[in-house]
Amino acid sequence: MSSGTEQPSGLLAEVDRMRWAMPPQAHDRWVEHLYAEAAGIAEHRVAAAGASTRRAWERRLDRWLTSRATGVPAMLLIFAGVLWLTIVGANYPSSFLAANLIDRGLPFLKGLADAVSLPWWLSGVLLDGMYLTTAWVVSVMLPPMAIFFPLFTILEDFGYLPRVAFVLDNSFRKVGAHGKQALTMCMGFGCNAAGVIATRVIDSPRERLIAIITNNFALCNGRWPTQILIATVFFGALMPGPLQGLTATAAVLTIAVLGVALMFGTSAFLSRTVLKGVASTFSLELPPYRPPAILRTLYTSLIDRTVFVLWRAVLFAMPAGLAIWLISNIHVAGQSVAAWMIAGLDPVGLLIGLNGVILVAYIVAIPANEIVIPTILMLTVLTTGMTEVGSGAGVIFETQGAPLSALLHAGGWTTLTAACLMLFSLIHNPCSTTIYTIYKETGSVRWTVWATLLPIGIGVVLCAAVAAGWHLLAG
Amino acid sequence: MLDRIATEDALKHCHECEYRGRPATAESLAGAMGTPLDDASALLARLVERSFLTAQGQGLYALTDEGRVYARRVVRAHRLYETALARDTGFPESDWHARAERKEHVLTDDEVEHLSQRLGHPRWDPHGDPIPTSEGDLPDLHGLEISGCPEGWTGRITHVEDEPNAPYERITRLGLVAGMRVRILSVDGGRCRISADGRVMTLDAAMAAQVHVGELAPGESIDDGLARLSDLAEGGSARVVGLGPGCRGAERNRLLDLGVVPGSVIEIDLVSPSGNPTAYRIRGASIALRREQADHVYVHLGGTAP
Amino acid sequence: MSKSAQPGCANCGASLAHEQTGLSVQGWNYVVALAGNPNTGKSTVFNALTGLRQHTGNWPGKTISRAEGGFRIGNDRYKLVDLPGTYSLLSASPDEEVARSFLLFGRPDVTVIVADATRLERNLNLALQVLQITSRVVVCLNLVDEARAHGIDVDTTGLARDLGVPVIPTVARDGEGIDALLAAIRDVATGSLVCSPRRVRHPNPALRAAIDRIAGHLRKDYPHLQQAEWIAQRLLAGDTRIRQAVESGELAELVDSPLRETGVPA
Repeated sequence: MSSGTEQPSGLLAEVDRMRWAMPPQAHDRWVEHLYAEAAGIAEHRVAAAGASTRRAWERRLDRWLTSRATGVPAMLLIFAGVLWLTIVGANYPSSFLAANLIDRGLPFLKGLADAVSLPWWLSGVLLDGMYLTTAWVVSVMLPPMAIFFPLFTILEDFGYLPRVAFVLDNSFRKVGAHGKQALTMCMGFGCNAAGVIATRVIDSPRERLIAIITNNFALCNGRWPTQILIATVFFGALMPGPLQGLTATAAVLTIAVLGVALMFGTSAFLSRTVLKGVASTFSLELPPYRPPAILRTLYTSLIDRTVFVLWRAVLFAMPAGLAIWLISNIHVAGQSVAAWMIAGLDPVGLLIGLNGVILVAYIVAIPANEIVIPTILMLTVLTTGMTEVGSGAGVIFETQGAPLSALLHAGGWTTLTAACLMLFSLIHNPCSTTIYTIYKETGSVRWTVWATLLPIGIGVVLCAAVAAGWHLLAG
Repeated sequence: MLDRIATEDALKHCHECEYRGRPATAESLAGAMGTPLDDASALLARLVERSFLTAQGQGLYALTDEGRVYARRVVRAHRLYETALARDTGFPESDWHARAERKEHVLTDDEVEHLSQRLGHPRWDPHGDPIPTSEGDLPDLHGLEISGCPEGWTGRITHVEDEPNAPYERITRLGLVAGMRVRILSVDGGRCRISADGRVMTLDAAMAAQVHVGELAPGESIDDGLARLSDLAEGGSARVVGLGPGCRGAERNRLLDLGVVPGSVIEIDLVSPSGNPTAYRIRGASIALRREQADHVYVHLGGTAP
Repeated sequence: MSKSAQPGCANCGASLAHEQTGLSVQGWNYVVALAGNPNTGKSTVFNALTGLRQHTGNWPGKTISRAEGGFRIGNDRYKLVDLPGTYSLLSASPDEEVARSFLLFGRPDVTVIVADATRLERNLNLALQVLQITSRVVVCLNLVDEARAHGIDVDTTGLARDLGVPVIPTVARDGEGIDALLAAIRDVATGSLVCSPRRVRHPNPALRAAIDRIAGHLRKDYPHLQQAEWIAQRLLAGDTRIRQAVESGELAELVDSPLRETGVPA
């Protein structure tokens, strides 16, 4: 320090000179030496009774969970179980929340608003707009996530998930991805934002980017209701009674499987083109099995994932509710803004087998996929004038079965519209929560734009092709 | 810019000819650059005018000192850039050359210096070619074509030529890289069968023409017991000897950090349904490696615990 | 589960008033870094010390960003920084870069290395690397219950002698050994326990000479530099971050002068 500022540069010059004379493989020798030292110490200080640190039951379990005959069936069984528990288990708390937050809570709050004589537009914005949207999102999203994530976390704590990555790695390797992508994709079935965060376990830069960009092809919790509803109303109805449920289920599963296929396809595309030059390494440690601490797991996964994802969704749902209310209640030249938008987007929508209502709903629903269906219904009521369906007054309302079918048919919907909506629901831009998460995780505008535009590009092209094919066959 | 690229490519060609002891002529340049003979002649004439070359008569051209300095600066940029691609990116080996061909003309001297410093002043590029120093020093060539070596000869691969690309790609697919130790098993015309670091492979004439070899260092010998970790069968064990020269950059460091260092004893822990990846027990942990990675790990099979 | 104001512990014979302060880490007196291999129960140790419920996945490499928490021993406040779990500190991967930079430039008062007792050899590799950078280290030998179940017995006293730093056996999941760990952290932080860490040298004599030469220069410029050899080795290995630190004079801030005031909030 005393010798002034020129000293360090002299030092670096000397370092540079010496680097010309570095012995070959100095780094290799150094790591080797460190391990040898560590081994020397361990040998002195560790007394091991048995040679293997893996117990017999662990070995048996490992063979069973990763072998050719039983590995994949066991995995499918476990994940089917998790999904079944999530879907079936979520029904009860979901209807409970909807009953309390919407059926009871909304009238109560409206009464309150009347009591303090809130102006109509303020109560409209706050209650019909923001509160109703948020309540809808909470009652639809919270229960499945509060079941799905803890189950997943228990599997993770036990040490099973790395085994899944191990079993599936070969398929992912062929498309230039990492076996752990199987897991981030599974997380994506719960929530794409959580799936994107989960890619942190992939420590190779290229494979992690692939997993992030393709996560959106995992049909998330917010999109399942859309799929189930449309499949039931349009595809189930094509069949006679007993086959209806089966047909609808098959239609939804086809979409989910198509999502997985697209994930593989785009992974292959990305790894061979734009991501070709990003460095890639592979490593996967299979940790010892450890008994999961169930209570702590429930707590941490609730805090870590469920509440986090929900909070983000609520944060984005409130402004969406506001927007929905505003566009349907602000009138310009005799028509609501929503009606103008629908009319403007209708030609584009029809070109890709959809319609203006659906496109407006998707623009409004960028914050959260779960508000797509309610928005579509509300906007269809607005355009068809069939106000007797549903409650009509609020932004979002539920309606089912025959009246719903009648409403959508009145809105000009066909089987093509339904098919294209199911496709588009799978293949469009990620919700804004996910986009934001992708930006935070990658720190790159470029990859965020890729992750946003790639799926919607594919979706538009695919829907347009389906629509063109349909018209060709029908006409 | 086009003029600069043509100039630099021509000088590089003349330098290559000088380095390998071949004559540089308008014909050789036209062949190397894929241009009509007239253009090549005109280009050479321009370079003589700019005193990068001198005409030696009988259609032969030689580099002037100035021309040699320039050519080596371009070669240095090319080889350093290839080294960086090999170490820091995921581009496949067959892409390196084309990318470096474009980049060598745009890198400034400062950028090249910075690159060299960042890479730790490497002296050899991934093909085994020496990288000229910033002063333009370049060690003499000491390699012979592998097909010229007698049966039973042992040595080390010193250079794998990346042009033309088709045979080069076949070579990379075999996993043959500079730095490997080889034994010639049989030579039949241009074709040869060799054993390279424990792997037996056959090179056709075109491939063999692009592989150069040199003598082993004094005291060095071929390790006939060498195998790859991917050869390990379930139930057996292997002792690590080292990592192959084809394993570079982050991949190499990751394997080292995981404990794949000389002396480590490795057993198979689990095999995935497809056989790839395989989980190995390495220093107390179960680590899954893909076959490509296990191919880079040199071992002695049947090693016992330390 | 709360450990506030716990009475003395049998292991260390000292009375420790340990209070978990969660995220209120303002005005701390000491900074403690938590390093370790993936999958050693590092996050469990973090939670046991701070009371925070950080998710502890049975996954290598779960924490990529730094998690921070706090605790109190007596009147002193400690800030605990959880570094990403890594196998090594030598690579340019982002998590290793984070861990390495924090150990050097974050100048933690104590670094706790969490090691898995069932896989000691592998974990010592990282520990030896940390000891190159900082001498104020406590090794937390975790999962000793699992080790016992496997019939593995680690001689912690001998290990402490080999490494030149305290080694505390723990079962963080059950809170076992945490009081002894706290006592060791306090002793190292306050300077009542001075470590003499084992510093491994490069096996190549020529490189060793080169390292010594550069380290000698460094010591001339910064007489109290603790890790001159390590910095010299990183410079020779081409670490650009360290090079920048030399160029910018940032290295001067690392000098651990004997008069350095501990306990001053930054």
